[in-house]
Amino acid sequence: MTNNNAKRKKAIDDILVDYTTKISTLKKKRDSVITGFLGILKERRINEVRQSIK
Amino acid sequence: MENSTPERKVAGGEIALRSPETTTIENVEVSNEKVLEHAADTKRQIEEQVAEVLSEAEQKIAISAKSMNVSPEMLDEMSKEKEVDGEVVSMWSEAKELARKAAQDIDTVVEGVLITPESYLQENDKGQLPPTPEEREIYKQWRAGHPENYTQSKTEVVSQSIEEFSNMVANFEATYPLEELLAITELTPPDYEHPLRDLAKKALNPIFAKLNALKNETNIPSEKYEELKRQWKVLSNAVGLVNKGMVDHTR
Repeated sequence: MTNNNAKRKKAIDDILVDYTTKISTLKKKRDSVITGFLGILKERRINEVRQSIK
Repeated sequence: MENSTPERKVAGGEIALRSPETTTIENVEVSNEKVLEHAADTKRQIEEQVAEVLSEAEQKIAISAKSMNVSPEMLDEMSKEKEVDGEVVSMWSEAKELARKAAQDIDTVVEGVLITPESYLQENDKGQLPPTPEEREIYKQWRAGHPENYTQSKTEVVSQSIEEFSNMVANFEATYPLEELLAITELTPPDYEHPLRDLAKKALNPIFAKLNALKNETNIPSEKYEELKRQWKVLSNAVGLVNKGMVDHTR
């Protein structure tokens, strides 16, 4: 007899893989936003330092 | 076993009916309990991934800001100006929604284990049933032909299951003191193991399975179900979710 529970377990694994893939894409998007923000923050900080030197 | 196995004509042919005991034995390779445990573990992993979307963002920003020697005021001001927090929270919400759908999909898979003819529950009450729809239908018909064995009412089944759930919660609390679990706030890499927490985490699985069974297999009133769910949440939060070595007891 086919082990249906083995199939169910596999189906749950597949859901996790699918979810992890989607989250991975989301995290890349998040990291891109953070990188952009940190770039602006760095620029602002450099300007601040320059101003303090003048 | 063969003497007690009833037969019934299905789709033009005679097939042997399996009693629940036979089904369980034949299906021993991956038991129903294992499937339910796996479902609960997977849901927890998904929840942990949701939490990471937010916590990793906070960490990345905090570490970079520190390395650039940015003052907290400037960081706060810039965060508001660029609405970066809002964007991250929006992605976190998206992750939560994806998690909700994944959990629903898992519930659907688990339903194959949990959905049983009501009469079967009355006898077995372990959420075990013939694994395929065809076998379930056959089993249901066989049960319909033997009503004398199944006289328990639906309400009695619910009451009995609720009592069992409450006993499971009480046993859990007696075995794994919640105060001690809540006091575990940090775990050491690389395994993040803790003897008490690890055992408690495993012990949560059958309670979760029972809660799911109550929801999916009985006509439990929604208020009562929510009350039991809150009891479950207290236990689940006491075990907590691990994120970067920190145990979060609030989700």
